[in-house]
Amino acid sequence: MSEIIIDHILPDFFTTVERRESNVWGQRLTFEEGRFYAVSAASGKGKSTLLNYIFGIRKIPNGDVLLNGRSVSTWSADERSNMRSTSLSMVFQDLQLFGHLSARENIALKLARSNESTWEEVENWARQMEVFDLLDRRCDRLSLGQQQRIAILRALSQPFEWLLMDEPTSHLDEHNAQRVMKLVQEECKRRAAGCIVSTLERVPFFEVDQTVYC
Amino acid sequence: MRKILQQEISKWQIALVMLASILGMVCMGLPMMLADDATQMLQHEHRLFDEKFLVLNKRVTVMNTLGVGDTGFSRAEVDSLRRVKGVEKVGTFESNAFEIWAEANFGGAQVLRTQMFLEGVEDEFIDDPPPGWFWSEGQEEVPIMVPTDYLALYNFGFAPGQNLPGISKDLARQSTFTLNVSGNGKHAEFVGRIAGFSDRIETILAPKSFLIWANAQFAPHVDETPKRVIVKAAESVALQSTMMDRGYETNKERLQSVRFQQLVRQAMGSFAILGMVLLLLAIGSFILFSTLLVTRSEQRLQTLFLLGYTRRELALLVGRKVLIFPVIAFVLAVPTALFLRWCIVNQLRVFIGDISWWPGWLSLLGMLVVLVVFATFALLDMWRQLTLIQRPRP
Repeated sequence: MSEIIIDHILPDFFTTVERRESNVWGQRLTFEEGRFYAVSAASGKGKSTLLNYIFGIRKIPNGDVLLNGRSVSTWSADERSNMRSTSLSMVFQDLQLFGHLSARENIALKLARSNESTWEEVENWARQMEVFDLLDRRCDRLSLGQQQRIAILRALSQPFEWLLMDEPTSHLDEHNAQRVMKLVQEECKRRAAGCIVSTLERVPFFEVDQTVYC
Repeated sequence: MRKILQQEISKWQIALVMLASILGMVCMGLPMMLADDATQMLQHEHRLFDEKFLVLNKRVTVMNTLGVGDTGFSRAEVDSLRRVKGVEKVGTFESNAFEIWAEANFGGAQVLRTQMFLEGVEDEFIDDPPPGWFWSEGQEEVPIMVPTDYLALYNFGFAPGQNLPGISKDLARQSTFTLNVSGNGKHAEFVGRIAGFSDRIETILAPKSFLIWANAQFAPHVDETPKRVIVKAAESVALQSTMMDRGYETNKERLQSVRFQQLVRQAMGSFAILGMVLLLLAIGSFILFSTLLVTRSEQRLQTLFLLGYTRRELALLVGRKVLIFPVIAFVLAVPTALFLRWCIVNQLRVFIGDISWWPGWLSLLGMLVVLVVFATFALLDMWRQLTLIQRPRP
């Protein structure tokens, strides 16, 4: 997968005025391979929508998203599942954790599907994110910040060429947020993978190659 | 993975669905088993229930006894019978119009000498013509068929009183006797051999070709009007009233047996229909159960799709959860139906004689088919729902 191209998508909720200010909607935008991007905007401007289009969660109303030159709209159900297992990883805004399972079991759902990472690596990351002691606890007993870090651990445990993160540090304090994003950047660099992080901040606190505004 | 779908369905819901499934399978399987038993019993033990054939004769009255009136069927009457709606074929009986004596010897001594009669009818009206059932001019041996009831009368009525041993069908087939035929100033001797037994026609049968030839040779006056005719009909019960209206007598007892058979079949059929209705309800409740399981798990299944799981993987996960119940229901329903059948058969054993303790494989196969139907419906519905869940939303 070389690049992601956002090709003139214009969601229904966008007004003409907003469109003029956005360098995503109604534009042709290329996310280049192996680079780190921040998608910045206030609430309701379509940051999550953009990531959902790329990940194939939502239908693209007009325009297109091209991954490696191919429209995501043409993926079959099995292709979509395969991409989500091997090339695209995502940290969802609503985390999508199973509350009745332990953090370890949630991560195992991804880890068991590939040989990308080992439990040793995952536990090492967990130590760096200060959630190692929480791995055997049910997720619905964890705080939102702790859950967010478990969701990031789960996303890192699979193979990916692009990592999509929808406001991944919204419930973390600055110290933890920086620690988490530093780890994510290191992992992306190690795998030569690209990353798109949505954030509310106009100037992200973490280092990026480019910030685009919705 | 299995833990993901836990707690989605309450134990009460599972118990109700299981109960409905078991009830449906039992209510359908049991009548199938009993109908199978009834058919076996009627076919193999009481071949009286041959509903396609009707033997007709004219009523014998006092006038006939006095020599007035004829009990034979004229050619016009036979032709008229052929035109009756529902009649497929009409056969006429050829009776001997000469004297026949049967003699049996054993160790040089005569053990039996009796006057007898023979009748012949076209082969197509005979139930399973035995091997060697033919006669041509010059042939010394004459094959003979006797009603199964005659053998029973001998074995259970005559032989015990005379202190004689019973005779099996096989033994009877091996025995021969002499047929002394005379009339018209001539005499001939033939070897009679019991070739088989008839359940359909209650008379002593010989090949019709023999009777036609013998009547021509030994009968001083050949009577061309048959005293009895046999009718092959699509449905003989309905035809019976038509024949009675014409003043003919029929083999009523057999028809009563046919009615009994039909009643049994109708009763079993009604029960089976009721079972099918219950089964349909059970399948309905089962599909609802499957739908409920997927619907309640929709959010979790969606998450698994987002994590990269395929429809096939999730179908296996949900399918195991869904299919375990009809399989358990089947495993419980089969012994339940077998037990109920055993109770019923045991109660009826006095009236219907011996029936195998094990039902016909068709009824078990039927229940298995029901299980497959259950599983197919559930899997198709589950696949449809999974397809809907994994689609990108607008």
